[in-house]
Amino acid sequence: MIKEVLNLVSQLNVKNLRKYFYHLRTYGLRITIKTILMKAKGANFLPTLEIKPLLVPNIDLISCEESLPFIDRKVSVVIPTKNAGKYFKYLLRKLRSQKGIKECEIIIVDSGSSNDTLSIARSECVKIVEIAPEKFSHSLSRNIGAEVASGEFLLFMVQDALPLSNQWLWEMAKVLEENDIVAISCAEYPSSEQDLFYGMLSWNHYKTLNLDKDRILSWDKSCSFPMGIRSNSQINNISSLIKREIFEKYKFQKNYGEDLDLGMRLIRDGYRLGFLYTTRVMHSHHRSPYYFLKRAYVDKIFLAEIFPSFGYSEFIDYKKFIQDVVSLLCDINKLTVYIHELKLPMNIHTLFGKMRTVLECADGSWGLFEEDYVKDRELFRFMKSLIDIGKIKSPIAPLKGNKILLYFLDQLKVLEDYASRIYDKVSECVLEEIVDSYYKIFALQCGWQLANLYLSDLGNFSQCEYREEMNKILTEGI
Amino acid sequence: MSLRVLYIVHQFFPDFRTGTERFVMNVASVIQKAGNFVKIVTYDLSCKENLQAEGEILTKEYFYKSLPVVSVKHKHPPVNLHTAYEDTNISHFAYDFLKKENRYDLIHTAHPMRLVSFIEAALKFEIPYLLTLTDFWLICPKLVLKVNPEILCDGPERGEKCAILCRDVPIEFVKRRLAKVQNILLGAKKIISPSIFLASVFKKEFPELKIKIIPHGIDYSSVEENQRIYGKGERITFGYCGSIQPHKGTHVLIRAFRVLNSENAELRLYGKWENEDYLRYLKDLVGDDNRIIFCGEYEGEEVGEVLNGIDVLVVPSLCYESYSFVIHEAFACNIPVIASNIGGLAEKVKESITGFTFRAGDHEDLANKLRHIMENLSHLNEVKRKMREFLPPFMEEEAYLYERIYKEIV
Repeated sequence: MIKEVLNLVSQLNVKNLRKYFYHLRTYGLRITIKTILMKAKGANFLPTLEIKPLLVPNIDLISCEESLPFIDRKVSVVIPTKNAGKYFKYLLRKLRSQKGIKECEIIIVDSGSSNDTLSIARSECVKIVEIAPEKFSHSLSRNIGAEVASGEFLLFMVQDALPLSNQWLWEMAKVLEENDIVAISCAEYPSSEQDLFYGMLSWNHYKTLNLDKDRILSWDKSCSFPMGIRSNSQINNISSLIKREIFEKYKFQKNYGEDLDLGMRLIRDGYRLGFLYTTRVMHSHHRSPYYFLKRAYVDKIFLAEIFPSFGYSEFIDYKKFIQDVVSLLCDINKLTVYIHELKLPMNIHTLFGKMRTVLECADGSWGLFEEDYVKDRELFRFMKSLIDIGKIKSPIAPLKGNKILLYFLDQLKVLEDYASRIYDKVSECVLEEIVDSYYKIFALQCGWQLANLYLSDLGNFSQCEYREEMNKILTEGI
Repeated sequence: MSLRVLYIVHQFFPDFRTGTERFVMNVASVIQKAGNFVKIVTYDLSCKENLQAEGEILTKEYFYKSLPVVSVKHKHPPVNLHTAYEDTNISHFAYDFLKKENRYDLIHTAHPMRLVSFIEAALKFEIPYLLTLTDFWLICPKLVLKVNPEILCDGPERGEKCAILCRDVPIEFVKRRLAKVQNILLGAKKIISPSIFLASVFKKEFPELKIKIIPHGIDYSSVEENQRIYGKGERITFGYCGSIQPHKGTHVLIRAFRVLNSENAELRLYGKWENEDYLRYLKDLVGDDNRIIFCGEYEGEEVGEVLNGIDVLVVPSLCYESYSFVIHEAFACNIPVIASNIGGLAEKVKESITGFTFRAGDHEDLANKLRHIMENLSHLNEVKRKMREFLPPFMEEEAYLYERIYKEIV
């Protein structure tokens, strides 16, 4: 109770009061109070963490390759694969060239590749386990790989990651050996193809969860709050190294978010984990807005399963949600037209200021609901299907009560904070990155809110005949 | 912690696109993507439009892709523009620039030619700087350690060698310049070289230097692997990719190829030429040999396609190469390389593992290598298999190592 009161107090800032004011106008006092109380359960509240630093070897990365203190351990690398991309062969070669480790065994668990993934793996002498595509789950494929592994340490990786030095594995293994921890993960480093949006997501993720430093993670008093648990449970299967005897006792269990779930079970049982921010692995995505909509949806469903306070909807009427989301998309399209008429280069904060003004003054009418502006056919089609689901012909109410706009503006501020660390002026090229980013922010918000609607028993979405069908579409392939 | 990094380079895109410019663009782009602020200061050798006057200096701000660039040039360029190690006008500009801009966490100098005063300004503002060696400009006023077309020099030896081999350069100037360079090098928080060879030339002159090796990374997004396996009597295409200039030895390759009496061989020459006399000379050497094709320039993103059209790359340079991007691109594309046995080329091309070497400038020796390949295609297949073990670094890998160094020194 004290925790919830504290959390409630922490929610009372100007930004949130504005949100609750809009909420009050739209849904009335009873529902608003209920929403505030659910928020007070602490879904997004990050308490002060007690930072425990990791003991990290101080090595000269550049000239030490041949003189690394030898680690007498065999590491088994487990990589689930399906139609791996161009960099897969480089991942295998980079793993083979790791120095300072007794042996590195590579196992792939393939679930129906139809391209050259298997022939590349064979040519690189990798151990291959094949499973039927319909059997795939993030946990099962990794557990199967771990079963055929013979190393004392298990390294779980993804097919599109890449170590950035030949000492990378040694650094991870050394930290695992020299600290009282059972698993170690490391942060991502961008590929040259990474876009601004993904950069923002990573930056915000590490900053929000206090993972922008090398640290030990364990169950501490911050774990009274969901965000404290998230921060301390970070096993990240992009690259996580774990002691085999521990893994065999726990294994992966969830179909999605299996790494975070394992981390939670381990710290709950008193084990400690490590997270490296200095040592990185190359990994980033350049995906469409629709992918991020689905991804956000699945993320939210998973988080709500673990932390019940994550799954509440501030939308009671799903038709109102659909109207708001379509209105916002139309206004974003108008914004896109507007900012392409601006004279560049321009100060980055000036640009974001103008963007906010345009959105706050928008009328919410459904002009410019056109595919060409969205530049993502799948997202556009999905929006059209939402209109059909809601059987909506035109906006019901003006944009002023648009709650999703407020969340969008919050995320736009995060984008501004991140982009202004990198750029002081906006060129044509940077402008396109910003435009691309805000469509993805829109998609992300849409995915989150749809998941909330799906999970909530507060509103009328539970009576919607298309509810389960939409859930199926949004969870496929993620 | 995000950083603010200023890069100094003597010339830059879009007008100049040689190895040093590519290095700066690759590293700065990835460092920017990793969430840091970057800016590039360069010297402008070509532009005459949209220039702002700041005292005796003209400036222009532009973006190359997402990278912000400030280019500077003199209103009245000094006669010793390319060799000077002091410049009052640039010095004033550099001081004002660093004062006016937000404080940079560090300055990364990739090539200080024409902009060396930025290093002095960095010292004044106590901004740490690191230096990547990219060629021999700091120790050789003639830039390439080459006395004439026949004689290579292995370093100034505190100016004594210059006094003997390059009498047109005043010895006192060389000595003062070397003393200044020594201060610049010793003041750097880190000195990095992309090759052991380049580092060794500097170590010979300044034994007290600590130089780390970080090879330049390449952009794998345009790499396409050549998976051909050759059978007896198959057609082989040799390729040359680089600027077509006398010191790059293009003529040595053409001469060698003419000696090769095989209808199954072809030679493609890619690259830019500025010296029309040299081009005429090359065309005379080619004569009516229609197996030799001049293919012109190619864009960076076309490198995979270009290299996939050839089977063996030839790099016949007559001067020391500090590093060769195209060799590494060829390795990544699984294309063996035949290279001169000097400088950074010899360091990278391992006999029968990643390719073959020949005596620099000796077209008959090169012809023997070409002939050996034509007559022993199984050997070529074997080299292609072995070279898969050698994976050239990624540009992200290079940037990551630099970012770790940046964080160490700020």
